[in-house]
Amino acid sequence: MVTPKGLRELYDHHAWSMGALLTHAADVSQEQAEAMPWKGVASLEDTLTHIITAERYWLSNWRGEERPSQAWPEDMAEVTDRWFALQADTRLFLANLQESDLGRMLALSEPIGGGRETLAAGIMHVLLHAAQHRAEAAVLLSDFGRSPGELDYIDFLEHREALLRRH
Amino acid sequence: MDPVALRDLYDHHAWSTDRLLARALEVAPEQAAQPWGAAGGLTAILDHILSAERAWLTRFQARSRVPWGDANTVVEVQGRWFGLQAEVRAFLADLEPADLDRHIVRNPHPRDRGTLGVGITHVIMHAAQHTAEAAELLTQLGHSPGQLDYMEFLDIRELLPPGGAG
Repeated sequence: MVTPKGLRELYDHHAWSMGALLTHAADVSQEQAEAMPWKGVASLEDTLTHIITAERYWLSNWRGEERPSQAWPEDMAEVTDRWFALQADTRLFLANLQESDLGRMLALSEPIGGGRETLAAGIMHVLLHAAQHRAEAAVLLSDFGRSPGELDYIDFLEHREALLRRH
Repeated sequence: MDPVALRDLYDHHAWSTDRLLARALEVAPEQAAQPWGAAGGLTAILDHILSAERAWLTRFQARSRVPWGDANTVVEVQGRWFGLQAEVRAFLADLEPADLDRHIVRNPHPRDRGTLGVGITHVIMHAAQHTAEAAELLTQLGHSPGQLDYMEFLDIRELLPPGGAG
């Protein structure tokens, strides 16, 4: 099974990737951020917002709270602000996670996990969901000439090692 | 993560890849070969997922193997996928928790770092990233593979006979 430590590490990778995406997204014009150059794929701003909104929804579910309702952000700066706030909340939740919590069944309004909707499955779902939409955001950014560079897990580990060596 | 969790995530990856390939076979070969923006072409993206997985499997097994040349068609990619998936599943089936801390033999290459557990996680996350690109392209071409989320997979797996999710 997955472990809290493993999930925290995957979240670190997710957060690092989001940081790279949002940094580069801040360089595009508002018009580009709202453009939909790919049929069937949301705009850059909406794709990043979707990642954050989904994570916020799931985090509330894990904490046994009501589904949050937030207006759609006005611009990329607001998306970034929301990400910082959410990241802090999710990290706090993950920091307190115990191995025994992971098998807890989630209360979902729609059963979407075939009866296997444990907390571990929910967290894994959020991480893979984010990976999927980060890739879409990265392609859009690259098309706008603002590639975020390599966002692989192995690149994150390398980056983290380099940071730790420096400190 | 332990071997059970990694096998579960591989099942999700295999299910997603099967769905992508099923829809990719509906795309005209010339469309599948055509580069689309920064993501590259559909055939190239699918082939990249598999080539990377094969290269990492070789490292995990500390074996040398001749790299694949580029696949020219989705049919060729699918043929590679069947063989590769069987090999990876056999490798994962034999994994014990203690194996995950084993250091990977380096090529040497700066990216060949870390333990077996890290390497397998990397392959799964790498595939997730490029799966999204392929899904984006398929949607663009009018052949959306539908939802590929992990929860979706768990839901569908419950409906399949044992061993039928991959």
